[in-house]
Amino acid sequence: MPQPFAIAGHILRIDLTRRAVSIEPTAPLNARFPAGMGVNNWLLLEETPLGKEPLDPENPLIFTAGTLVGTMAPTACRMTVSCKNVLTGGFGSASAGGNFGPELKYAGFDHIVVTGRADGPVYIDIDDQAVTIVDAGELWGQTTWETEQALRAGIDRPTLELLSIGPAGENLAAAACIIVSHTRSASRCGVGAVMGSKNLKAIAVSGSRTLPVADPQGFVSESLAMQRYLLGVDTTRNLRKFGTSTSFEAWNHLGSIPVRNFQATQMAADEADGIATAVKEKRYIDKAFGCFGCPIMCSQYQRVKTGPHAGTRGEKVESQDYWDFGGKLGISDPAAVIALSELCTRLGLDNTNATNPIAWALECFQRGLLTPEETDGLDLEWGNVEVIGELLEKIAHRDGIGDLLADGSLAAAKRLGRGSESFALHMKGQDLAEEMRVFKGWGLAVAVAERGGTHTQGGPLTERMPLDAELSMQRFGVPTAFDPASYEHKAELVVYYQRLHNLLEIVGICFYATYWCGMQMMGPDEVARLYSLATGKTKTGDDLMAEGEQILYLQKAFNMRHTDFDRAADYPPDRMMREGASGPHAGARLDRADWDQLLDQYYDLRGWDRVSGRPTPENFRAVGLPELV
Amino acid sequence: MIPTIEPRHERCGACNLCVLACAFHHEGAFGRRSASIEIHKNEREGEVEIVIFDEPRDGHKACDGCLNEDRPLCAQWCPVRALLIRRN
Repeated sequence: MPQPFAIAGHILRIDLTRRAVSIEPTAPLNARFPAGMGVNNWLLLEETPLGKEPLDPENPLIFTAGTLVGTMAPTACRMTVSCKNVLTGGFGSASAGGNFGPELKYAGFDHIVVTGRADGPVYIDIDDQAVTIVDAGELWGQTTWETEQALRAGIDRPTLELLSIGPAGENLAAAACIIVSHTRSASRCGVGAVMGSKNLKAIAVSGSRTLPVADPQGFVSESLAMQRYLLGVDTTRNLRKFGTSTSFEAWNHLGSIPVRNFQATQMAADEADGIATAVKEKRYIDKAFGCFGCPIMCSQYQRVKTGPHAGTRGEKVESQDYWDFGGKLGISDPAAVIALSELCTRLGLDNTNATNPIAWALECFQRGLLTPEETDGLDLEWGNVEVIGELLEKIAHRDGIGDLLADGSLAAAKRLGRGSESFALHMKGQDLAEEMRVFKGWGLAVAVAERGGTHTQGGPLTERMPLDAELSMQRFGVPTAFDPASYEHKAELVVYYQRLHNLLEIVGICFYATYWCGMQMMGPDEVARLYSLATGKTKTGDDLMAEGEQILYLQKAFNMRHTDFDRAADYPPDRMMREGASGPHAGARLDRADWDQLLDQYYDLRGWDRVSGRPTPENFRAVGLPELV
Repeated sequence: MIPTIEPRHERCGACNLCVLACAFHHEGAFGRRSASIEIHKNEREGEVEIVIFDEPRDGHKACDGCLNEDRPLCAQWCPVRALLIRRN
């Protein structure tokens, strides 16, 4: 069979229990579903057995690199992994940049489906189509960085790319992530724990193949024109200069970050200014790096040269890290945030899912629900960097109180009781980074996200951007986008961004290069032009948005099959409705009647059943998934 | 006259767009292994070394200065001007 355009052409299947490897063509499934997350979600839906716990060895862990990954399409580097969600029991996925996705495709694979559990620690070595399962006993217990170093020392091949788990994944902590290319992270949903449950420490890949495209000259011209255009946009300049941390000050100014476990929504000026000033001054920034194929280069290499955290260095501290460590845990020293973020990377911990149970514990301690006898003698004060670092180590190793916190804040609250459930801030069981009270569309997206509590499945950053009504109508079909307090038209915005995010996971382009970050970046039509030239299949932006919609239904179908999520699962935590925000929107909280109306609007836009919050058989047929009726 | 490429390692952000451009020049398709340029990134120290192959090695083709192009593609694609062209 000739190699199709842009995609690599093969699915790699590895059964770790039987140590069996097989390879099959991607084409039959790709003829039915979009590449990347389309096929990935279908495989997850079809091959996850019913009634099994998320860490059951039979469950698959499925990696993919999307249609344009590995080509010159700007930022097309994303690798996404899907599995049963450790925190929600439903749909789970996590995505990372770096170099692994492109290299996987150069080895000839669009997907890796890992099932079973090895009888001892192993890593998978992919050298083009030669795939071996290698003993990793000596790597077990090592950090992600030690693991990378050891693998690089032992495998002598050019263009070697790696992903791995740290102690957190080995010890099945729900907050475990997968670290890709040293500092990129596939976080959320406990994907690192699923990898650990398979005794799979790492995957190494290198490939010598090339990816042909349908119209080489046309595609190269379009990609280069798009790159040059993006380089002239202010959003790109800001990301290159400061990274995403540049938005922290604005988020805090708007009073929309989680503070002390969401007890407030704005950090005090003296605490926030230290962080904002360090970002603006580029105090720790040495240089900007890009993921594979990315001209934007938002990844700041930071180095702390003095003070208690001197020696800390590495890439990819994001605005969200300042929400997680700065706001949520009360740490005002930016160098400490950088250091704790680095610690999470080494331990293989997802910053959000690790910090949220800690925030819960700190609030329980504040309220006297946890005593020093129950915290291994630790004084759980807000902002205590040393104690928080120790708690991260304890979670990763399930040591002492770390074992209580390692399954997420909801599980911890259920174990502790004493009314502590009110202080576990989660959606569908997954811990939160997102403040939901102020921006209503943002709140809706986080509440209804199929993977549970995440802004990367439909969160409309547009809500924060001044946008004139005409442009808003043209782009989103609704007249207003910049009115945080209003519930009006927010459902339409969320549906738009759900489709956009999903289509980006089909092609593997980074969200930061698109309308998500700014209206001057790439929209569906620009992505569709690149897609059409690369694949030879002519599609419009609307066509790709429709494919994004289909992806959402595949996620929804997984949740319908494996969970009892209904309308009730789409309500925000009580705190968001009971307690008011701080800052410029002081007192703002979500109103139950308004929320009910917003949910009705959201379901109505798709014709879903208002009571169950679920699609009808007719809905599945309408999006081209009759087999799911 | 074959132009030579002079790397400015300190400017490089390791995006590998030059590698993709080079592989495209040689093969009309996207990859890494055949490219005449390789990016070695030390993630821990935030340092990059740009390696340009004057002779074929391990599947890498020798740099031919993109003689059929107006300018070498790697330099055209580099978003941080880390590759200077020297006309010999």
